[in-house]
Amino acid sequence: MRIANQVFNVLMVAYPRRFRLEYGSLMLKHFADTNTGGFRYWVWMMRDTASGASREHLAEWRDQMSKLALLAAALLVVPFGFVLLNVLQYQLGIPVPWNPFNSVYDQVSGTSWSYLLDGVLLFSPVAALMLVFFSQVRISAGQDQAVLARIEIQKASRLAYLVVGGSLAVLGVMGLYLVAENLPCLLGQQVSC
Amino acid sequence: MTIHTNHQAPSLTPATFEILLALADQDRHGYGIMREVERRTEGVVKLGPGTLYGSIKRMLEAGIIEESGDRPDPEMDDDRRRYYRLTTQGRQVAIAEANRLQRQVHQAREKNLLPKLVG
Repeated sequence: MRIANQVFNVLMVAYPRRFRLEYGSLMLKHFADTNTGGFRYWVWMMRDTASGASREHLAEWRDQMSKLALLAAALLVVPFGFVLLNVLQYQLGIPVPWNPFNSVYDQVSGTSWSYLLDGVLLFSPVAALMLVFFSQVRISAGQDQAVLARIEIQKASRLAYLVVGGSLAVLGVMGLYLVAENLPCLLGQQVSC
Repeated sequence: MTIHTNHQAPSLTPATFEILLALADQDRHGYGIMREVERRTEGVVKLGPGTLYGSIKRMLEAGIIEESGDRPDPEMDDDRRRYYRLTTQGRQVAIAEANRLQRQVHQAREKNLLPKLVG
């Protein structure tokens, strides 16, 4: 029985830490009360652990994400894809024949589509950073006359950190590209820019 | 977990409704809920610890059950156990779900999937 409890303790590692801290001891007691041993019991227990743990991870993941942070992450998809495909194609020399950005820039360069894409690539990461900021900050009216407004910064979720990191990385890489491309112009070494 | 009480709302999960039923007549702890569900369904429904405590967590968050200070089951009592009871909202949710199921059973009778009630 003691070995079975230890095995169940190991199984409980599959659950999110917060859930384990809240319900771990109750679940262990429940297991000890119901444990009838045998192969079928353990198959049932493994199935319950697999489905329960995946449900709890999903719920925890959903809890951590505000809708704004999720929208911010979605905004990063296009610029992140652009940077990734361009680094693969032009920096690492890996041919990417299905790069959708090539068709926009090569065939319709200087058209409204390419300007639109320029706009999306530059403003999406900035908009994502702003959305994450607003998803983490709560501004409320002050309780008395001495305090006009209260600003609370919530504990940032993992997704918020990812969006901030991703936005800064994308902006950084695109900034480097822009500077490198226009360096001769900036240094006055090229007349026509 | 969002729980609606109107008749157009999606139904509760089977585990959630079983737990609501188990708590309808008395406060119970987790193991007591499992035993009651198993007894009532003649062993067809067995709630494992993951399913049971995951459902309890979501039901507490939704405010349809709450922890109870009373300890009405001295036979299986233990300081480590936590007792749960239905809230007023939880009772309303259980009634709404029972009504929804009753309507479905009525429709099944109308379609001759179940024998019609005599009298």
